[in-house]
Amino acid sequence: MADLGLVAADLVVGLMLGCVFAVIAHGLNVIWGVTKVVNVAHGEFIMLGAYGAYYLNFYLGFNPLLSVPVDAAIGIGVGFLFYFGLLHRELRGKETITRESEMVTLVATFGLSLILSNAALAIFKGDAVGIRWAPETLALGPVDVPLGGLYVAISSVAIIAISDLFLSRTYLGNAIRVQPRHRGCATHGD
Amino acid sequence: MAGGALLTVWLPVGITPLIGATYAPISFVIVVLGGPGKMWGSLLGGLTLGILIDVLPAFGISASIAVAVAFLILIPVLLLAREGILR
Repeated sequence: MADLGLVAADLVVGLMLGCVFAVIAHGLNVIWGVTKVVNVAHGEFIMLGAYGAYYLNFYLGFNPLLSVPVDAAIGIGVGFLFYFGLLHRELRGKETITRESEMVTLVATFGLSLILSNAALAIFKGDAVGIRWAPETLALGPVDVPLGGLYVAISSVAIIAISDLFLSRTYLGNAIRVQPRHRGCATHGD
Repeated sequence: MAGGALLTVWLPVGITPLIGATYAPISFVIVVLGGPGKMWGSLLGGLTLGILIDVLPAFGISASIAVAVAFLILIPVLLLAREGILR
């Protein structure tokens, strides 16, 4: 039988790692699950986000949590650019997204992922970088909870909650949700 | 991209141009586990994977097998609940 204290410590770290995975997958969930674009380049967008946070910290001294909204704003711009560069010609005016269109988005974003990762390799070089931002730990019984991970877990749950509310409660969110299935409804409104 | 910013807190040293290849498959598995289009599904799927990857080694299972197990649970989920574990 495993040591209970060890299991508890691993459970806490696992929960926080799970929140990081969740917020990473959340971006794909919005792109693929809601708008039906199979974005194979999602990992490369995550990589760009990580570099964005690194350079915001390096040049402007931003705390990683503070760079989240800045990164999200840059991400909207970059996503807009890639959508109109790669996918708009295929998806324009479609009533529903067919299997063929899904394959087009898959192949296009696969090419984009190769371009992005190799361009990043050429620009940023292969060295591993990182931000040394580690607030103290919080002793919770026998388990030491790193506060940085805790802040990340809280913000990821908040990001998911806000997106869920936006997509289910607001007019624009409902229009985005309906759009890939039935474009007619989305443009006419109801 | 905001996820990447939060990832930097988790990886104090370790952002390379190739980390995308690590996180893209994990994201796809999590989205399928939770059900595409369900926002809370990605939280549930992410927590499932995170807990499996971190807790299994405490029971003497090697860390690389734990990652494999986390991916293998996708098979029963797809067989039993094709819309994802979240109703």
